[in-house]
Amino acid sequence: MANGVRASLRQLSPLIVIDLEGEVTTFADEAVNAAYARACEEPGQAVLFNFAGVDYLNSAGIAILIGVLTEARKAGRRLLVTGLTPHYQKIFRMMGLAQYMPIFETEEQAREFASQ
Amino acid sequence: MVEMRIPSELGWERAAVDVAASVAKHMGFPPQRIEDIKTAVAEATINAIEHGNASDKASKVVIILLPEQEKLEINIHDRAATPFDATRALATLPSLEEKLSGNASARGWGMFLIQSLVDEVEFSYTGTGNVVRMVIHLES
Repeated sequence: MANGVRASLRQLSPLIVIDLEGEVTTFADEAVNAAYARACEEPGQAVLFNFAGVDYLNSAGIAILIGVLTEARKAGRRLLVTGLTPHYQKIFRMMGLAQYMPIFETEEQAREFASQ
Repeated sequence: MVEMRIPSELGWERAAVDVAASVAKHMGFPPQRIEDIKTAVAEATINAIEHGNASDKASKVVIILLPEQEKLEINIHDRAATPFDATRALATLPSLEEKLSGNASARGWGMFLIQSLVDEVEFSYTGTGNVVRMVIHLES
């Protein structure tokens, strides 16, 4: 019944963007962590998670991001977020995640932030 | 009344979400409130699948939607053998800092989200399972 997520990487200097498509649930663990591991092999200290292609996100999926964030903080790497709907922006703020993973309306805003 | 039964398999909660969204839209809930309802139903149904029914596909989760003039009541039933300790769960807010430091599981947000997104939530045990009752007022 559950559908998967596709996670692909692209460069948006100085960011590495992880484009997520599909459903970010407990089943996204392997794909998201593998994408983040590949992103860490690229130069750059900031990774932008793009949720524009995500049609379903639940708390188990967000927990995967918390795991990635934990690793990123240990490595001194910044995580940024874009493409969230207003509802999920609200959820991220309610959980306190926005404090650790800044939310941007556009990739360009995230890129400017990372360039500073 | 709208009633549906789904297998206790992750992913099936989306069927409950879709039906709840359809009912809420028909009742005239604004889009942002429909999103709240979708998340609350998803989280409550996931809890019923994973914790109440231990992901036993043969054991059904029952979702009952009761649209009324001013509110939507949603009841989600599992088949747990023991009552869910709602008092404890509701009294303990998840701490992101604890999770980020590795002192707590990254999961465990469902109850917090449900409580935050609906107007009323209560838990009961029927003898054959837990029931989560959520109410969302049309004008809230």
